[in-house]
Amino acid sequence: MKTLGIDPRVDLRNWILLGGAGLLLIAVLLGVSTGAVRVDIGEIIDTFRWSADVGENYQIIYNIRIPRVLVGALVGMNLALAGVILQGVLRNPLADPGIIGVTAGAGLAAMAVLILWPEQTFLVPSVAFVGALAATGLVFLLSWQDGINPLRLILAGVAVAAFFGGGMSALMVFHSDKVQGTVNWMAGGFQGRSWEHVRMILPYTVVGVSGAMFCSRYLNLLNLGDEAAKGLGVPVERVRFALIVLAALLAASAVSVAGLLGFVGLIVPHLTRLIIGSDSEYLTPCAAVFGATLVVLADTAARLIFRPVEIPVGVLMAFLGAPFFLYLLRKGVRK
Amino acid sequence: MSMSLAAHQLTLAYGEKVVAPDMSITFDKPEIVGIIGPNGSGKSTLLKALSHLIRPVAGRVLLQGENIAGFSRRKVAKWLSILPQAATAPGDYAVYDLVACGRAPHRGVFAALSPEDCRVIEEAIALVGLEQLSYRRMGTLSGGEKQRAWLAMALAQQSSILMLDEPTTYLDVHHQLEMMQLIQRLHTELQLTVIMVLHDLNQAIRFCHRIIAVKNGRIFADGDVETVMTVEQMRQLYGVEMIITQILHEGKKQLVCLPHDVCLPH
Repeated sequence: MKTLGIDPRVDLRNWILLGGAGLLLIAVLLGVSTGAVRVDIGEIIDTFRWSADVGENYQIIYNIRIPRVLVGALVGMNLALAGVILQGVLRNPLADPGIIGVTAGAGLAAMAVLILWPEQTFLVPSVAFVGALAATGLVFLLSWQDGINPLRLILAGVAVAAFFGGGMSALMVFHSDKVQGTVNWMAGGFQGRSWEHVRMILPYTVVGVSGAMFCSRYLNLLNLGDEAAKGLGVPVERVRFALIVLAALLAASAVSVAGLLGFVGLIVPHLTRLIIGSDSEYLTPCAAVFGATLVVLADTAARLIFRPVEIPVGVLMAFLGAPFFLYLLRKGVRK
Repeated sequence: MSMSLAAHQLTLAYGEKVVAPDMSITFDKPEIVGIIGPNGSGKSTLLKALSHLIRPVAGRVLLQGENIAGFSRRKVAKWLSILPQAATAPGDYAVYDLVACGRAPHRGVFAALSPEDCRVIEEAIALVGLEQLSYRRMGTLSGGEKQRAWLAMALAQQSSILMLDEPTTYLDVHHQLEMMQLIQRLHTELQLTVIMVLHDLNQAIRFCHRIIAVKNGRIFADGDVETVMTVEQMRQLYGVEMIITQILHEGKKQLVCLPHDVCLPH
């Protein structure tokens, strides 16, 4: 029989993915080389050569810039993937890591440490991680009814977020003198992130990225609705549970090292979908790459624009990203 | 290949609410079966139980003589495909993407589409006559074309039983007829057992070999068109006075059914 020819979008999608990866590389190099002290590419390369003499900027490159940029890239990836998974699994365009309680849980836990035990600040990432997972667990528990019902999950998530948000407000009101110390963490950022933070988030990124790739076909089938997916042989309840747990781990690890960085998890999946379409086999890797690129670029810009003052990266991303997203939305780009 | 599918004393419920207390039914040859009955009578529920979308509270569904509860969804999906009512796909899926989803039960999780998969997909698209629209996005198709794309997806599963929940509900009369004729042709060409929930009685009369009437969660009547479609049974089933008459068209006798008057109680 005659063949139908090649899908015209395949090439384009591969080019977009490749372009995204190239852009990420450029963003990473830019992030490492710019800052209060400029370093050139040669010095960056030398950092990775054992034989080379250690230059004067070695400390800056190896212990400050590189971990910071890496943390940014990993956080961007994790949040974007968490968003893609949640929007797919819950079939809700407004789903983001906040909706499963991650943000509220991490926020309350971190704030409690920052305000009540300020001398234990080094514990913030671990405590935030635990808080995020605890809140997610609570949301799961509340929405469980022979498996996870997406609508119940979203409503339970809203309720839990409101409850924890109340806790945060209470802390702020009763300890208004100490609020200053929490503001930066709440806005999210990468100031002073080190290799330790890279080590904290990397395992989750590895698990999350491979899990998301592994599940992208399931996401495609879930896009057809629960019944159609079941009819095609997908064990919907089990897959949905596993995917939400995966998203929770991704988001929790991201907020625990970067603070409450909103926006990425909600907007990057949409942005990627507008550019590349909703086929998850392309959407997942592209969203990961775009998320990483966006966060690294935004962090670099946040360091540079009002040098030496750093503006919170979350603020910058919202100010630049939201209008760009609205522009794409109006244009209705669908390649 | 012909498949046997049977329900034994099924009790079906949504949560606490029992929808059907006791249903038994057998399908053992390639035929077109229409399930009819008033709203809320349990037609769709029966279809969902037969296709393993919901689990019965009691009783068994037997596929080739074996309890379907012991099968994985994936295994069931190789034997029977179901087109849910008002199924929607993301608007930017191409027809080809949707039909490729039908290969899911046959593929490994990581495996790319094999040449065999591609051949089956192209064949399915050709069977429903959408070759020219293979790479058109679902969002740009008309209702009839969308429904045919979904049908192609079900065909790509290469199952021997095809279940459809109100396949013509949102279509105009032209596309309704086109859809029913397509289903009829697929039944003949592929020896499919087709089991579908229908609201239009005249479609059921014209295209089905067998009609199952469901009322209050029980099988009210089951048999060939003449047995089920009687004035008396339709009155009891729907609470409607029907005119059921035979017309002679192009030398072929055909039943037609005209709803004439509502009679209470239902």
